[in-house]
Amino acid sequence: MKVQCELCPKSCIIEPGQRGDCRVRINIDGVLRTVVYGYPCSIHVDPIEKKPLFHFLPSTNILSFATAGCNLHCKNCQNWEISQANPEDVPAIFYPPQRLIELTQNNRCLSLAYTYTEPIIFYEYTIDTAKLARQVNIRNVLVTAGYVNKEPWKELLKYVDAANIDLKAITDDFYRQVCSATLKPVQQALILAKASGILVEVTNLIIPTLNDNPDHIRQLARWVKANLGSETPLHFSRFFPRYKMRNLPATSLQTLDMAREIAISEGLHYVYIGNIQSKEGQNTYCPGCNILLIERIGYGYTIQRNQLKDGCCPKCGTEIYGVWK
Amino acid sequence: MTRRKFIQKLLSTAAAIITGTWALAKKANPRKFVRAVKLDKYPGPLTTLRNISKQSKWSG
Repeated sequence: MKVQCELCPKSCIIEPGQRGDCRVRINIDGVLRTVVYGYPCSIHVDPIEKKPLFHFLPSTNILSFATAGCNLHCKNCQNWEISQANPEDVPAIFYPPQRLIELTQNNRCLSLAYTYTEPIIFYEYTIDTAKLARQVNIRNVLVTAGYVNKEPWKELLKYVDAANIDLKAITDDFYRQVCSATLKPVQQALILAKASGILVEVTNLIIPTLNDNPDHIRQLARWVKANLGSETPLHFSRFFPRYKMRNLPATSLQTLDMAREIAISEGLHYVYIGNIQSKEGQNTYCPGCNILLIERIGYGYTIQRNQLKDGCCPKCGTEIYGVWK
Repeated sequence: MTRRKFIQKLLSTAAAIITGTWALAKKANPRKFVRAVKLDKYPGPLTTLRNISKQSKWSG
């Protein structure tokens, strides 16, 4: 008997013995089963700024993990070796939720990131781990493309503290042609996440010739401001030629600076550039008096100076959006 | 044909139609799931935990 997976907007109808588009949800005897529950293919302790999250527990380490598979198929995927692979081809480690929690505690991490591939496709593993994490005061962070249906997303958000959600472009054409997805569900997921009260940061990876049009960048910044608020941090990230998109050059610093300037001119308070070293694009400035509040160096993963006082600007007292401790 | 035989035939025909329609409807309308049930066996190779304190090479 066929089954239909209603986790993400793809709504895959799966024949017996076959899998959904994400490669990890399989129809066995008329029952939908997940083959990656408890089997991460990657576990690392990363600086939280790497996610990137610049407004959530700065300078702390976060235990980060992923399973194989993804429900998007971005031609530019940076992690395609694990996201676009069948679990059969990716070695995994047996780590059920309780062991992940213990590992997080043993490594003195305050939070746990469901990242690298797509936490939505290992939904059951994500939600069970997140529930356990909550019980021992470990914070849950999602790094996701946000391509998920409304009901399961709302259920998951109950256990999430922060998320970095990709807004890969502001046109549906881009989502269809580059990611084999659609724009609207992502926008809906962003709005729901913000409305749920969790900390939300947004990432837009800029690919030369595909989504670097200044008008589109302006539209994207306007959409973020109008729907998520001017306080929502926006990260413009550098593209590198990878996977099926090796014919394009890496994004230039000038393009990223241009995007940042546009977004700031549209009224966003915290706009960053990532995957590249930059003089100002990784720092946090006060939206009230414009003084430098947090200075980051390298790729932005290391904090050189943090002047925040109880989450506020020490000079003018403006409250800075974020979870600072 | 006696009345009893006629009713028997009518009932068996009706049952066959209902069963066939049910089977077709079942095939056409898949069972819907949001949550998947975990499969105990991973289909790929298993490995052991390596040095996790080394920063990941993956994006995110």
